[in-house]
Amino acid sequence: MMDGEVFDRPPSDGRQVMTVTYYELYKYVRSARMVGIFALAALIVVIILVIPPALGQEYPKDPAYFAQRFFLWSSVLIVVGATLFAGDALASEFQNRTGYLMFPNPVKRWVYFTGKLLASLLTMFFVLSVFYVVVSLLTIWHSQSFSDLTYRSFGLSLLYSVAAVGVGYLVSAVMKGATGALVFTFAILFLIFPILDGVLSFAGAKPVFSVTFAAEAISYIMQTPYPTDQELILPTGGALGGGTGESTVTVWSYYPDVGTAALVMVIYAVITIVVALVIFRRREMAA
Amino acid sequence: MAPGPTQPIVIRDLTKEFNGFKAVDDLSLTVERNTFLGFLGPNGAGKTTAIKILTNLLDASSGSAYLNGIDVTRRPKQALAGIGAVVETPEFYPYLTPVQTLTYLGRLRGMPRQAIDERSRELLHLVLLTDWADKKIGKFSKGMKQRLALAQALLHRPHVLILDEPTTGLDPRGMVEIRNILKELKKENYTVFMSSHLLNEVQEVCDHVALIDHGKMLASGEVSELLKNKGCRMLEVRFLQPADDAALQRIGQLAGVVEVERLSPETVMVKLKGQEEEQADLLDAIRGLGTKVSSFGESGNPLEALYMSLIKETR
Repeated sequence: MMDGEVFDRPPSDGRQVMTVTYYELYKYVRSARMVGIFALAALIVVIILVIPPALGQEYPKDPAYFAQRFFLWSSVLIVVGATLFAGDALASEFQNRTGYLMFPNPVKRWVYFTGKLLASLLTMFFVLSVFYVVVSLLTIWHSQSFSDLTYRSFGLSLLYSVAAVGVGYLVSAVMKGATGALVFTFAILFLIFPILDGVLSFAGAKPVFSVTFAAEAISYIMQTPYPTDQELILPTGGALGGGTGESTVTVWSYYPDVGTAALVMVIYAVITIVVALVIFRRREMAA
Repeated sequence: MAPGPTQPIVIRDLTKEFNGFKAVDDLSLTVERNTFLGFLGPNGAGKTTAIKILTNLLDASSGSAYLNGIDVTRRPKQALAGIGAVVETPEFYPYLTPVQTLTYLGRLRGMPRQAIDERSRELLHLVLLTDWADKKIGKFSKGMKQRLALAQALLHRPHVLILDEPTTGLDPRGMVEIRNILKELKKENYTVFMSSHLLNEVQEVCDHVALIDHGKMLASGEVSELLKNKGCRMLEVRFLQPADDAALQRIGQLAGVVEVERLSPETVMVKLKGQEEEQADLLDAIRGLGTKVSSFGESGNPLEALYMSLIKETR
């Protein structure tokens, strides 16, 4: 058994990153999660194609407005994707005990982290690319033209997917259980942040710092001109309502500035990924 | 100073604290090249913690741990390059087959494709998994996973193996299979550092042992030397006729006898302070009492007796 060459010189960190990325991608490509995310994307497309005509509504002729109907759902697709392809990426190594197999190898922790992160991002980019290509083809079919704003929406989607994956990795680095990490990633991006956005908007504070608020730019960018913040003062009651008609309520509609939204996404991506990496590097296989 | 090439595993003043509790307490140990060392201790003694530090699964609170002369706490990639390890019962990615798993790990270690293929075939044959080479690991039994874990540890032909209780949780057949593989390794040029609860197993495959408890080293060295130097031995004496209390009392008063315990009407266990010579004298002395002895010899596993006596002292 000992006869033969001893392989005690591991390859460079970069080559090891590529190996980890390859096998993580292999995992995602063969997983039911990949089927699930494409099923969701298909469902979004079919619902938007079927429901308006069924209700007697016509699609807008403008290619940008037609495509916007689909891109309203991009952030949902990204949140679900980040949950599936990032939420348990790190926690599972500890909970499923695969860390006992992988970590005693001559591979630095940041190499595992980077390989996994690249695989998660590539998977997300692939899913989004397919979604945008399909929507673009449908737009061309419907409007016989294509809006260049689609590129900007796609760019923001990619940026948001990096930020969302970062949030997933941070949750995954902190939490012990893989299932809990999945649920918490989804809850943060689908419930907690959106609720916070709504409450702040209701209170008249623009949630500029929120990554889910920033993500709204993915669909608004398809509108020309780009919508601006509005303050509506509405009466709360009148003679018919039994009131005096003198009291009012102010309703704010906030729209993320595109540049600020992109910056917020970048900041979220950088901070969450760096903090997740620091935690993952220090995390021990103690249990 | 870093240890030399004749000492592939060196632990120096290693301490690991968990919230003030010292799981490993100032532990020092050297494993010489080409030795098969059994790392023994009761549950919670600190064996797995020490092994986890050696394999970069835990950080040390203080001290150092060298693998092939490289401090694993400072340069884990270089230190782990020349060793193979099985820690606890590792889990595998269920969607991969044994061949794919070995290919993944081989690529991480920089092995060329052809070498991975050849070595994988050879090792899967060794661990009796040839028929399962292309089946997904998700459906494997614990014994099969443990054998595959051993195969991945041997993949890159390391000279040093670190094994953490490699037969724990296996059924008797699985234990025998793993033990047979270990015996095969013993015939070759390996340095093996193996923790185990099973003293028979250790006695069977290890030529050196280290005993720890409460994170501290109790004794270490060659098994034969330790057994020779241990203070007491447990002897089982069987008489032709049932021995009465008076006879037991007389035996208890013989030179070197520390304790006498009745196991059955005809059998007693005698704890004797001394070695072979004292054992022979005791036999003569018992015969001199006029009782007929039908059998006389060391009881059970001598390593077990040594282990129990050392552990008892620390309780």
